[in-house]
Amino acid sequence: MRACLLFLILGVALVLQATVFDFVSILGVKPDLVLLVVIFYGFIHGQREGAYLGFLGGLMTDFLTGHYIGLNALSKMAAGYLAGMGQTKLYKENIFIATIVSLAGTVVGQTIYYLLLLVTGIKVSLYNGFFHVILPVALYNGLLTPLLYGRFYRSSTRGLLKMPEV
Amino acid sequence: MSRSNYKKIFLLTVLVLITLLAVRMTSLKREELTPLETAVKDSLAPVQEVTIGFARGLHDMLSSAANLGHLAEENKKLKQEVRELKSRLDRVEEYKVQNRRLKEMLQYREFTVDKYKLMTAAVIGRDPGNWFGTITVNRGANDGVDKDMAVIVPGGLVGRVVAVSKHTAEVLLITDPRSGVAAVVQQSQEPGVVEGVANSTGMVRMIHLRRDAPVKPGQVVVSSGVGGIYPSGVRIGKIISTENDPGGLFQTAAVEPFVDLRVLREVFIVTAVYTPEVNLPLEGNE
Repeated sequence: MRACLLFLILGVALVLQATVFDFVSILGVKPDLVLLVVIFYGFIHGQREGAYLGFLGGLMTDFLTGHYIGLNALSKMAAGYLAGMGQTKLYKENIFIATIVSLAGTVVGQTIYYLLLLVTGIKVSLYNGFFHVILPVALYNGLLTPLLYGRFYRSSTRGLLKMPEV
Repeated sequence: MSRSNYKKIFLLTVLVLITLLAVRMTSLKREELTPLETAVKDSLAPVQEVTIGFARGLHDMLSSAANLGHLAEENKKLKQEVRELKSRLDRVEEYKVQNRRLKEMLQYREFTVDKYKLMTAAVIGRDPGNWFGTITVNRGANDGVDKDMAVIVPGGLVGRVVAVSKHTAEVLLITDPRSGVAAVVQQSQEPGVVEGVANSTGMVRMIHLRRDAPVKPGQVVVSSGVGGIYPSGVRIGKIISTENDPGGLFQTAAVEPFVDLRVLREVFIVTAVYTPEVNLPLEGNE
């Protein structure tokens, strides 16, 4: 049930990104909702879970994009893992801290994506990459965090996304 | 480090290597999509079509509501009536804009009937990320769309088809950093290559221009037809600025595309280009 719900959330986030979000883009940039879900999940449940969901969400994005399959899987996996590092060290209930984690996680995820682009031979200048994509996406994701994190956190600790006790 | 940790690191390394291999193998150069990708694209197409239609409706509705907020303050008594009328007017305006757009496309189609064979397609999706610039259109292999067909609108060049499933086609926009279009500066016929910068900027740049080439802001860039993918003479954009390359041999021009690729709704896929027979006078002919 929980796995199906996560899959559904990623699917809906992906369809929204591929359709609706162009209408709410700011300076040509739209938020990376899939990455945001991965970061939230990693921050709440830890490195391993974050990396797993990051790989799955990234792979789904790659399949929809249809080319260079693995770019999103690897970058989102790293972002999920990094967000998970804060699970035991940071105060998860605090939305301000969650916003900082979202900002940092998005910067890391997008930077790894950028580096993988360079490895693949796709040239994007550092200036354009950082100022026209990485930074605006991170800010956009950071702005969305206060709106979405509370619900996600409650669902993950008390609701449908709560992990079964072992 | 324990044995199980070594095992985990080994498995992670294998996963990363396999994924990197997948990245390499699924580049734009491959001929066909895998059956899994085709299935994903085809099954998502109707969902995307409905969602984007809904989003457009909501967007129009919200815009009209925003306009009404201003009117409501001045005409409290007539608020409801004005809202309805305005809503109707907005709808009429939307139809007018749509009508103008479609008429323009029809005229363009008639105008270019002896140059290209065009197929109309509606945009049903976009790349979910911010780095690449691709759109998904509702025409695919079943409609006769093939890889490397050029995509245009009356305003100018849009891109080319890079992947086709049965019912959809993926179009690589000229603003995508993976895109390269052989082009010339219309005024001086100076050749170069127009490539994408990063999709979010909405700009392209023309590279490989000779350093001493007479290239100035305001000049128009059109496709040259070299390479065989894009037909020649299709408008691309206007030069905004130029700068010399650090290497010293070339200069680069920043180009603003004529087409706002972020608001595309319908496009033309060029399914055939008719080359006019040109009889050049040969030296020595009577």
